[in-house]
Amino acid sequence: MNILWVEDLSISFGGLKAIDNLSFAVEEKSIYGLIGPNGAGKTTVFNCISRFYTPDTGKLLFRSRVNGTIKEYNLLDFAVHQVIGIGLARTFQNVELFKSLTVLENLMVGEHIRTQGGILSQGFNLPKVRKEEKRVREKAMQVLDFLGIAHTASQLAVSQPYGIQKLIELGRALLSEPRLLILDEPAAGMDHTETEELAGRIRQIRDEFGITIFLVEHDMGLVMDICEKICAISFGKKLAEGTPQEIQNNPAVQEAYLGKGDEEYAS
Amino acid sequence: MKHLQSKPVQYVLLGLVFSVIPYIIPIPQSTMTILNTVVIYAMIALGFNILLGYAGQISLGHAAFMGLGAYLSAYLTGKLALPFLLSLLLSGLIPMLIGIMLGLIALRLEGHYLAIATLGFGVAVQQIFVEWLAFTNGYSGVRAKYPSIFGFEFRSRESFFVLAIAVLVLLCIFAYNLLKAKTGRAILAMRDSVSAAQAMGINIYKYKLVAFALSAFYAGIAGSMYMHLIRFTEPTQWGIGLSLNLLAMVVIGGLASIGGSIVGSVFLVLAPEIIKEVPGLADIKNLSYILTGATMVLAIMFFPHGLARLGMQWRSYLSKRKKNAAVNI
Repeated sequence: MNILWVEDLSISFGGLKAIDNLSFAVEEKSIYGLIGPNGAGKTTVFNCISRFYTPDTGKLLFRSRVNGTIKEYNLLDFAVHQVIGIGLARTFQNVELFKSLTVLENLMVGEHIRTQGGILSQGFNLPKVRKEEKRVREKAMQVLDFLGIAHTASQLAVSQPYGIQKLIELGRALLSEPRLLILDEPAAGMDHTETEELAGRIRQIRDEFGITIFLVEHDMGLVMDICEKICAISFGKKLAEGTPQEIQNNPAVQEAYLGKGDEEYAS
Repeated sequence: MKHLQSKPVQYVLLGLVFSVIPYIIPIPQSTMTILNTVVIYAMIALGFNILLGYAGQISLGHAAFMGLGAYLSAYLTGKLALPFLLSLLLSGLIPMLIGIMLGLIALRLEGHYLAIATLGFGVAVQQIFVEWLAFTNGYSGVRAKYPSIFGFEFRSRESFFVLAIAVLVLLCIFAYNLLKAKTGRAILAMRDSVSAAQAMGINIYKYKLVAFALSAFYAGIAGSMYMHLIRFTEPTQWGIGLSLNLLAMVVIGGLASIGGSIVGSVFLVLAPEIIKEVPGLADIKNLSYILTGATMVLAIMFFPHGLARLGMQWRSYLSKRKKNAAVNI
């Protein structure tokens, strides 16, 4: 079963076509990669799906299982802060943490939509609010334990090294118990060992929690290693879709990456 | 001992200590009035800090909400003869509703535009205070009674001080509880990263509105308390001068800090009074304005976390220096 369909997606900014009739589908419980040279429009696709942008044309459908029944949503019916409620969570390319909150509190924000309690009951710190805070805190601690960074819980999120900040962001998204997790360059700024650990972690998230992973990544090693299916795009257009092997052998993809002016990817 | 570490318990204890001081050490009437004013401005500064410090939204029209609270309280206890406590609550709630209505429009704007829109609101409301004779009696002003609760009249400055501190402590505890729970996290998250907050399901517009409504409520309560302390008000008090002083209180005292709001109020109210007592300085016209402005500039440049967090800033400076020294060896 597919969890996400993108059909004929197009968006342009001031006459420049950033995405041009792009279609692809992500299968449930798979790890799906979106690759492409710099400026290919990968993050723009993510921003359309997570509703930061509204596409000019095209369809965005999301289907998820809620208590055994399958529900289908048109993502365009949802505002940016509502998509997390139907099971779609994301991380950002340049880590977006809440700098004045601790690591634990950053994760607790991930539970925002499920946290109960009105303004008055919070202001008077009623027993039900205290109970709810305890529940959210414990849940966040569990996720921190899972990510192996529980020792940082009470420290400020911004005082952490970059690799850990990336994990905090991942943890914050995980706390919302998403069905589909969108990761925008999860390995950016990580060294080789950290990237390998991350690969294991991403697989574990899929295997243990059954969360579908959809990622954009520049680190080809990581993409080829963990993705089951890949979509390659260039200048907003789809070049190819297939298994890592198929993508690597695709002449159009090779040209987009190895063609003139893109030496960066030659290695 | 564990209870002593809880902030609400600390607020109550500090409140108790301060409220009995005037009963132990005799303090002149005029000084008591000034101290009462400090407590009242701390209330509005606290609410304004939720908006400016925590939510990162500016307003240059909050004097209007305080003025509204003052006139409402005079009207409700006077013409309608409602009990003081009920009119205190209504004097907070009605400005809050007006704040929500203003926020619904103005909070679609950001930064400078929000500042201009709220400034316009403040100026317009002050003009209404001048013109709406039936409600405000124009420049002649209105009078109000001493506050009374269950038959006890807070006639003396000392007893009023106890009442004012009790209200401030309640407002502090409410703000503290709210800000450390879901709402506080959402408001701070929104200030730190709008896009991440949205991705986590936080409705930005809603939480901006919550912060705006709360600050208007606190302002209204402060206005009502002021009315029953001074027992007279007229329109010139509720202008841009007060709105700007409010901004100075929060910036000098400490943005996003409950203690900072109170420290800021102490500074802004007491500094001009102290200047008056110093021979030579008292003759310089508008020196207190110059002092406020200069302190604000100094605060932004050298202690951006405010007076309330000077100790913390000093400690982190020392530990950083120690670290650097260790590296040099």
